[in-house]
Amino acid sequence: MKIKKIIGEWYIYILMIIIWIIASMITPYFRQISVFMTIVVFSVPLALIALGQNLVILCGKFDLSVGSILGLSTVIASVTMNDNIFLGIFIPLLVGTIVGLINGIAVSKFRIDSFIMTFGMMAVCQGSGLLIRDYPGGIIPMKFINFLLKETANIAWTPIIILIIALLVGEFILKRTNFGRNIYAVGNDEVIAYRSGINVTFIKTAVFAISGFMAALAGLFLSAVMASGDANVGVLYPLDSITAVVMGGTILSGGRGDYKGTIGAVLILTSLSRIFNLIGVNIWYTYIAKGLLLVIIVAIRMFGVNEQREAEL
Amino acid sequence: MTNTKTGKKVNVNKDMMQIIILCLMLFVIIVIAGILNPRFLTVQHLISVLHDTAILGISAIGQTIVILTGGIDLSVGATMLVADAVGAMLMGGQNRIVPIFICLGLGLLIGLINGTGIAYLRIPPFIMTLGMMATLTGSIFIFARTSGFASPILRHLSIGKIGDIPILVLIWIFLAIIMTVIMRFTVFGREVYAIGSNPKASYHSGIKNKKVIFFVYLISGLFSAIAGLFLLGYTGVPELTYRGGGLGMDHTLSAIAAVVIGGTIFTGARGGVERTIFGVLVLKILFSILTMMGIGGAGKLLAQGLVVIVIVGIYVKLEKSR
Amino acid sequence: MDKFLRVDDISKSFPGVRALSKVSTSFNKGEICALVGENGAGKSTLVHILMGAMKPDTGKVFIQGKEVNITGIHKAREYGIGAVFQDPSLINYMSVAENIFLGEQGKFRHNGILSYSKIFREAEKVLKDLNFKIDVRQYAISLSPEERKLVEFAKMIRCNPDIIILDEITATLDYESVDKLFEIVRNKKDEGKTIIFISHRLKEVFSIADTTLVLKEGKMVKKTEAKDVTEEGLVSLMMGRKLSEIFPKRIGAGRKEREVIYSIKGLSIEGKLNNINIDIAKGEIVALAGLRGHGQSELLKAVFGQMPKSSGKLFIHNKEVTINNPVKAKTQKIAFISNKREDELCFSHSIRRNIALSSLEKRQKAGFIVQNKEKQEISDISSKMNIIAPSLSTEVNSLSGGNKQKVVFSKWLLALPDFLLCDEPAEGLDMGAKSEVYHILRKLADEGKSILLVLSDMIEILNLPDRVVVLREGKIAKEFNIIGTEDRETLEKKILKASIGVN
Repeated sequence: MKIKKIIGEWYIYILMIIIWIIASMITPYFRQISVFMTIVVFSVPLALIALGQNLVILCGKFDLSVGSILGLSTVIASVTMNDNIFLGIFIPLLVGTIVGLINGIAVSKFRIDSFIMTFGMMAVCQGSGLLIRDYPGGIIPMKFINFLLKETANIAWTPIIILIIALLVGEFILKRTNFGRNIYAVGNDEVIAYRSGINVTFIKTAVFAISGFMAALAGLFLSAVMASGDANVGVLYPLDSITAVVMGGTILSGGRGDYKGTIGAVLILTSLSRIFNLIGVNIWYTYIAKGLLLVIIVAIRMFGVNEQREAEL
Repeated sequence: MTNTKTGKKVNVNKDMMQIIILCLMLFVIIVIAGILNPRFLTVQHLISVLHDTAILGISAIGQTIVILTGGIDLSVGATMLVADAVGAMLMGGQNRIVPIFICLGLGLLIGLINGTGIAYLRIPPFIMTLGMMATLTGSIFIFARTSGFASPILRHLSIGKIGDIPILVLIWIFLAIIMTVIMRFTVFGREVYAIGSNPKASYHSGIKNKKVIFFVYLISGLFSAIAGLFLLGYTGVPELTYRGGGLGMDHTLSAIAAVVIGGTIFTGARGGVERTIFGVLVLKILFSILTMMGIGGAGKLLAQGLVVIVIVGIYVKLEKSR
Repeated sequence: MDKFLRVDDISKSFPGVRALSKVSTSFNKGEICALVGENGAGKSTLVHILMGAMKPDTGKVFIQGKEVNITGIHKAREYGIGAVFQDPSLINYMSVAENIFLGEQGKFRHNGILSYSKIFREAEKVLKDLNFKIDVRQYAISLSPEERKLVEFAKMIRCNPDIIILDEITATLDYESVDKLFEIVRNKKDEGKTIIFISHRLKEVFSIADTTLVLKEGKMVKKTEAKDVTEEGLVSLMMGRKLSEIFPKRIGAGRKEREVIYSIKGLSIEGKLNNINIDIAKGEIVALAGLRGHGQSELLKAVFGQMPKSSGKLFIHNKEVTINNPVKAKTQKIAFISNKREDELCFSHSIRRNIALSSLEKRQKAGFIVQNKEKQEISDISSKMNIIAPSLSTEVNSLSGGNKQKVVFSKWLLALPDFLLCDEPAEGLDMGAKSEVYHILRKLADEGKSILLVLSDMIEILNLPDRVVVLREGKIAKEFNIIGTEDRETLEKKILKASIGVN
């Protein structure tokens, strides 16, 4: 039935609207613009990382190093940007991409398990970041911060635009480019993809490179928000991004899912933290809520997927 | 069709190779440590350095078995710290037995929930244990009080020694030996390895996959709780500093690193509890070396990552070489 | 001397097995050559080499006189070689249209953006040209096995290859579809394409092929014009021995009393099986035949409890038994030997571990495995089954296909079953191993076990079982008693007709 299909595709946004409605009924604060701004601003880094993570998971792999790349990126920015804004932007992005490439080559050519490889790389990047700067600090030039976070009429437009662009780019890549379609093929069945002439090694390497790039990009944004560099700031992102991707409808084993659901999940996760904060609920409840929400949504989806399988496992 | 000679006879099989690599690794790393600090080479010193290794070692036992089935338990560290905090709260420095049982029960409960979700509701292990970790993180900081101390008995078990050997190390080795025997010589152990290697084939051959997987997470929860209690006993007070990334994530990651360095890979083909012992030792001695060289937490982290990547690279080469 | 495609001295070995041995032959433009041979004769290996999926150990390939180095699938495509493999090659969760253009969807743009409406339109065009009626928008997973093959064919043919390789493409196809396909093939022949056609069905071979190429145990036996050879001639070239040497004798011919032990009543699976009723007697070998994908494997899986059924009961000795998972099946002494080794073997484990897997509970004391009992039983059954390997600790991965299958057999035999379900038991085995398997099955039957097989090779169907049940579209089309039937030719025709639905 049509309705079932629509719910299946858009459930995340339906859930998000429900949550927002309930929140605005519980607390008057929720209706303020400033709250929405905070949600948007804090969603940006996660949304950017989740884009890269989404591509990686669609290929059936994991990228645990995204948080550390983000942290490393903020640290490099805090050290170089003051002297040369351009370098301060370029070098972190370059580093992130290179780290991603190394991950990708290890996973695709050398067949190292992605969990283990990115796990190791995570420690390497985290350590490197801490070696450069072991406590938050450094200088992020005001020009950069203003560019990203300037408010006109109480609304910071740039983050909103970034989110919209991310959504469009993500969906575009996945649905409207050969590259994106090939990602789905590889995630579904590598062997069949290979036999159909798709360069599987390239695809797998590329998604990790993109993931690294996106993590670095998210780091640049976050460094503006924090106005400093902090190697530890990214610690939650690997798990949060995987949570967002899976909640948003992408199957963990790859091959199915899209990015618009992921963005919806990102917004829900960030909203929840904000809402709990506003209500005055202990911040730790957000952890519980995130954990439960993730498990429940996946469990419900599993029941839908089950119909097509044999009685196995 | 003629069966041709295979060319080279399979003399040294992969299992042997891996054990050789492990021993070599351990040897090399001890030598390096010895060069930096000759005192290191005395058995006495080695054992004292390894004192708190037992805690990592015990948590890694459970994680090994989980990874052998092709799963992962991200809630190991969180469970440890839950047992740690709850134990302290309930013990309050007095010699009570009940708190110990409650903590172990908590570990079993956490493992039970994980196992139910993963085995019976078909939730991927990554997701389920991730959700559990998040839930535990939130819960512990809401409900726990920072007060409380370990009971004297627990303290004694954790810090005390028999001769030169810490009791804790003996307990660890004891548990490791029991689990190794179970994994290698019982039906249950065979089933665990089979499920990790090929779940479809196991199911098809009449093995109760769900039951086995359920138990595996139960065991992991239990061992994490045990490790947590000993952590409490060793430090005396509960560890409640939140370092970000999820409760006890550093413990969890160290456990995973130890398992991976020990050679247990996610496909249940190779590895086992006995290998993880090597992994734990290598990891801890590596950390000691770094401390001796004056390298702090950041460098340790970097080294841990590099070691994991390099060693796994070697293992993968080994797998492919046939 | 206008040989379009020529292979020279091609050899390929795998551990313990010579798959191809100095094969040299050539093909012309506009030639339809049927490649025949038993399972394991090397046909698929040759195809994989031509498609660049494998590299030969020795030998060269020449196209139009020039040597070519086919390093991968894309190279093969560049050289104009296209193939439809036996293994599935469609992405389940993508539309048929995208599958047809897999990897090249980007060609279809509208204002620079990938246009799905264009992809759908072009795909519809491709299918229309082939006269296949399939909805291009649906996900590949909802296709029937027949439609799948047709789509795989369309996917290959739209690249317009000069050399077309079809590997067992008719196994799942209907009469009509086979006709359509053959017409397309004949058109391609007229266009000057070279077609290599692999099939087990010798009747088909004669209706379409210009030449036949027989492979046996990796070597090329003969390449002849189709008109210069008969069906029996081909069979003897393929097998190299008399049928009576390969297949064991059926003593059942004399048996009058049938003691029915296993009764399947009213078995249905939504979309796959409809009201199946089959009886299997003591010591009887019953074969499920018909086109592949018409419910045979699902029937076995349902009896074994591996697949949920919408209705149906199983009676053992007239008592109803509920089996909804393999554990229960094992308790009832039912075993299922599947032909999919990925479902049966832990490849990185030793022979010993694999063989022990289905009978662990039989050799345990308080949960601990009784080691010497296990060693004994496993070494006994390995020698009985003639498994050739350096030792019992050898990794199963390194064994030949035949030995792998023997490991699977050994595993199940140790479970001491009374009822054996086998899906294509001799598939992929070399001649010697096949014969061993046939003999083992017959011996088990003579010991009183009941055996239910899925077979698709007509030679096996005519020579191994006591009874044949032909399934068509999930229903029982016809049953045949092999014993007591004298005329092989007529029987074969009747079975074929029942399979493809011709009355």
